[in-house]
Amino acid sequence: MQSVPGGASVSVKDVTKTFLTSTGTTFAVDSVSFDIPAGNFVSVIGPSGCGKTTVARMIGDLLPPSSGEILIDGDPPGVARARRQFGFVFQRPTLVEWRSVLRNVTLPLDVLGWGKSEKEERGRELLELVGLQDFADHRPDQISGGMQQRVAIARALSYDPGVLIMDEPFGALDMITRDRMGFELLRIWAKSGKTVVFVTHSIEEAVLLSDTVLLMGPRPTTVQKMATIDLERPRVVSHREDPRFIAATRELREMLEPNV
Amino acid sequence: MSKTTLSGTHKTPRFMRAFTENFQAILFYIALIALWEVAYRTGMVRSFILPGPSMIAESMSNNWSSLLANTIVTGREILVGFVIGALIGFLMALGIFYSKVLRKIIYPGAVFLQTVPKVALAPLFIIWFGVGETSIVAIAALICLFPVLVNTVVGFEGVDVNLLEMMHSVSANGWQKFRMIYVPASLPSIFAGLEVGMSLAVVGAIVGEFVGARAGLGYQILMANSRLSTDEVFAAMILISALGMIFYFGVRALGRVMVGSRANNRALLES
Repeated sequence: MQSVPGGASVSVKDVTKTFLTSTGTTFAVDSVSFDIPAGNFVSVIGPSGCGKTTVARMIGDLLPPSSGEILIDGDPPGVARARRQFGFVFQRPTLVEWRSVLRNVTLPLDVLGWGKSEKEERGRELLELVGLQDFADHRPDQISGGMQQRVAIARALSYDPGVLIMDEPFGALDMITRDRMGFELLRIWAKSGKTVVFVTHSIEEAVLLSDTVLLMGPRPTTVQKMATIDLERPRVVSHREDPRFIAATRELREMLEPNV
Repeated sequence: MSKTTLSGTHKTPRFMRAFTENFQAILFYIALIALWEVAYRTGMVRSFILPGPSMIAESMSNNWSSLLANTIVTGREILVGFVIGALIGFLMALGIFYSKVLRKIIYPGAVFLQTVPKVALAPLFIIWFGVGETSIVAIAALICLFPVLVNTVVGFEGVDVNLLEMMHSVSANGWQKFRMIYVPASLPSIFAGLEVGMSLAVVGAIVGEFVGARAGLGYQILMANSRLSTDEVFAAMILISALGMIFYFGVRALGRVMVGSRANNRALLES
């Protein structure tokens, strides 16, 4: 609608993040580098507390890196944010309960000052994309957790950002819903062409959904492995039994396990 | 033997249902009032110590014009004091929330004020603002300021961080965050503060009138008491209670309209 739909490339170069604590400076992230081509689906996995969320937050301009360079389509995060390049989806849907489902989706558009009919049209378009067109006038507490998270995805896509940053978006859902949401996300991703940075601690989820899996080590985080997942699209449930899937998850698990 | 019939589904009028559900309570209070009247009529208790219900009713009709005039005065004091106090409380909460310097300045003073019993300040207010409505309004405002302040700060600080990050990603400015997130998210908490503040404003106004007033229901109680017109004291008390209930439920109804049918509204109403 406003910008050209599609993804933005993400380039992370020698990025370090230190935090000041009572015992001195702690390295949360130590010299991380990777490149994500536009439109790719990349998962970030690693042991809990390893700083994978920190990396995602630095890309999305929620945290400044201590050193190093991050570029989104060639722009530093601050500039990219001003160009509405980031859409966020968090572990919890964080919908506002005083707005209908439709008006939750269009909340960012209120900030951007869109006209009423444009907002409505865009909101309905997105609800259709996430399969919730019949729930536009419902209140968030009237729909299920999985549906709420789909509303959050629609909200993040409302202003057509280049990068969708998802921080353990399905972590609060039950296993069955979680599986379904994964494929739902892939469908939405294929249609929108966004670049997805997907933080998770499920190896299977990461392998099943991604083009590339970034395996992060324990603190201070470095990239231990960038695994390209060699499975054709569209991904289906039976990919779980594919030898390539099994080999990829096994390899990642073996790298992850010694650190636990 | 048990047999299901459809008769259970037919509608009973609402007031009938309210009556049957609260049957025991209603019975208890009717019995209590009846017993009270009997005690009064038989002279078991002297009327200047405890006037009977009929005597109170009689006093209310005899003194109706003065009672009504004083009700209007007290009602006005409560309402004006409440609005001023709530407004100042809300603004101070904004100061505390948005400015570190103001937080450091306001908090100690506010805590000090809260620990001082407001009744103790009433005589001072009479000296500063004189005998009359201004002083009473000031006391009512002061007493209801704190709960509004605290609840507003609590509401603002409880706003979901992720929601603010989402707003940050579209470069929302402070005013947009305030309008679209902070205020609506805090409304249940703010209204909880307003409800407490309103009931305190009633106390504040009556205390103020005890200390220094020339009109109002508190003043009328004081005067009637000195004449040992206990019946008139009771009549005034009933009107104070009526005022308090009308204002309290007014705030509550406004809260329900503004907060709507949200999930936390239920929790609020249950508390």
